[in-house]
Amino acid sequence: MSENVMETMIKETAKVQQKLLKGFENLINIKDVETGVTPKELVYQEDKVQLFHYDPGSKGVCPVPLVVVYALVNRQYMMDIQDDLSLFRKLLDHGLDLYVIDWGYPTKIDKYLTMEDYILGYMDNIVNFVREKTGNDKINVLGICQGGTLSIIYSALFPEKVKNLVTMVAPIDFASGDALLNVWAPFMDVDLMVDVMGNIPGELLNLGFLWLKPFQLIIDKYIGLLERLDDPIATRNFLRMEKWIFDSPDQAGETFRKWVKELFQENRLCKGEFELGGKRVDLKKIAMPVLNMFGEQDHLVSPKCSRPLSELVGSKDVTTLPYPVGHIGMYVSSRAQKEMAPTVARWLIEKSAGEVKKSKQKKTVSKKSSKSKLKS
Amino acid sequence: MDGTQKSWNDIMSQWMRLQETFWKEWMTFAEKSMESMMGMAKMGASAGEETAAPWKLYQNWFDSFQKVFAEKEQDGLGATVFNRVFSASRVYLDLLDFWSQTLSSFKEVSIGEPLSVEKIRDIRQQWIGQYQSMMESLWGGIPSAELRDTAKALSSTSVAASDFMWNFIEPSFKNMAQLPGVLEKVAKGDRGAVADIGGIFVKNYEETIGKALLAPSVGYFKEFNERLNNMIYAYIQFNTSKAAFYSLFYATGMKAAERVYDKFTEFVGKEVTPETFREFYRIWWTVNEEVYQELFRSEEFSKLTLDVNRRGLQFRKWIDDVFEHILKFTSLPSKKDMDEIYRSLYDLKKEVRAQKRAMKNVEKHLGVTKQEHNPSR
Repeated sequence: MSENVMETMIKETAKVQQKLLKGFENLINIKDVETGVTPKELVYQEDKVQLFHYDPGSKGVCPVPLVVVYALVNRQYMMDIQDDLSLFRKLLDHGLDLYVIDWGYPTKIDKYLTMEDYILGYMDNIVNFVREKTGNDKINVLGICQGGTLSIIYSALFPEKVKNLVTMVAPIDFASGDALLNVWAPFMDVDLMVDVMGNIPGELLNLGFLWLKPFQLIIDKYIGLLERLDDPIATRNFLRMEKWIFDSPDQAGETFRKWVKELFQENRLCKGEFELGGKRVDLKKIAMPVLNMFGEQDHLVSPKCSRPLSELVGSKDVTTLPYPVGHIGMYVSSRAQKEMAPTVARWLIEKSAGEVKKSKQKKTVSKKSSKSKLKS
Repeated sequence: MDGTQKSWNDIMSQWMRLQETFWKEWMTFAEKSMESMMGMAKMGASAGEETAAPWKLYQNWFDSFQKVFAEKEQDGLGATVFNRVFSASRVYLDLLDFWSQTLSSFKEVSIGEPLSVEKIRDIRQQWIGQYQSMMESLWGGIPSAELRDTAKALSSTSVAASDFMWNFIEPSFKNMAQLPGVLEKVAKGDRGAVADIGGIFVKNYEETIGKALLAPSVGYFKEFNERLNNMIYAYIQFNTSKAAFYSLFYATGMKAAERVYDKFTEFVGKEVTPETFREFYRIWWTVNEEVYQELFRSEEFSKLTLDVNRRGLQFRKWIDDVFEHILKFTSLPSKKDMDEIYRSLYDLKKEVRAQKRAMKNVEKHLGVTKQEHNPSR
């Protein structure tokens, strides 16, 4: 081995070792990091599902409240990870009145929860609660990823309750998607999985997500961190993302079964054959304004999977907005902060203009009284 | 700070001091190696053997660090992320080692002398061999952590049962006359032979212990024995399937090796700096990502994944079945019992909700105002 090869090797190895030791010092005693930074209040709870109302401050200008619906595999702080990376804060700053659903962590007792329970039960109860609380006949809905699909189904079944629909990286045409999840889904024996496991572990789903880009997500991401381990701010920011990415609730078995079988494998929603609670879900009934956003580099939900929404809904007012970002970038990239939040806010304010509340807004339930009521 | 934390911090500060000492020694050793190597280079001798020494020392440091780290029951986000960084660093350093060794193999190419076909073939084979052992640090000679986790997540309660199972199937391994030949093939780099191990094992199992286990049982424990036998059979099927699955990974790794090799030749003759290594690292992981993406998109992979998942789940199903039978003789509820309870609770909750909703509608109809902000409760 020539001397410069040896020297390079020693230098690089030494650098890695020093960084590792530094990382050890910096990381080992960090038990947790703060996420979900924007002040919020728990206003509604049903079983493990919670609804948070984010403090609008004095800037509220949009007369229609917005309910945010996430994927069942994500936690509600996803878009509120840290001060400078909070899409929620940006939406509030632009005058939106924000309610966010947290689906919670299903346990064994929840294995029989169906998609009907989530959409016709929890989601509809929450929408009714917000309508009642704010005095609005209709509310705005923002659905993200799987939450986007749930929101689309909800809007088709209850168009009279939804003023405007915003979808973000939402899968709709599962057969056209060219992402790996679409390739793998037909080969899943979902019946056996659910029958044997009951709930599907979030850990297992996370492993599936890692395998979509194993070298980048298992190696390169951490080598990149190694370079920044001596920067406490960058390290903490990384930890926040890491916490969020791996904080994945288990999936209620029966809901997962329907999701994979009828949507991923049979693409029923797109074909107009999807039923919920004995009712056919007709996407043509979505006549309200729709804003459909997706990432052009999304490796989880490919653009081909999200884009067709405009052709499937009955609405004549559909705005399709592709962004040159990936799946995660839609929530946390600087582009998302700078461009997406103002775009969503402006669009919602414009489409909500002229909305008159049916009655005076009811007094907000205080945190204390709300909690005591919830416990009772 | 509690006592446990304090004692852990003490251990760590001692460990850090040890590292400092080690580090100084390692640098001194490395410097000496370099000096001696430079002398050898002048004489035209190969320094491969000598230069391996400081690296081995470093590997020992890595191993001992991992051991100390693993001994402490770690919890918390920081420790978890550190573990991930540590694993990634190991792959990175293995790649660095591989890169430097390979550059040495190419020494003769860089001086511009024409090479014979045989020499090129030798270098290529050597390269592939080294690459293979480096890749084992990623996927592992045994399943990697991620693959193990997948299997664990699939079989869940089967982990403890696996050890128990081993007692049953070990005799089958002991009598496998064909095994040495297959292992030799594996050692020579034939990763397809990994799948053969599973096949031989099944055959051997069926000829030995399998015969006894699958024979119809009689007596009081007949039912239990048959369940147990089915569980063992499912376990073997699961492992056979896993072997085929892993062999596909190795084959893909080798495909990636060929592509990385082609790119690697671009580095020959270039100045060796940390930057050139980092560029090589970037090429290495992006090429691998690309090749594995091709694998993941193939029908063969999807089918094998389906097969391994199915067999894993079948195994777990049989475990549940055996436990179900054992629990019959105790006062503990079985999975089936609990499922019944969960189902009843689910139905009950649904009914209560429907009744509350109906009551609310009646109240609304009658004009009764109720100050309730949480309608479903």
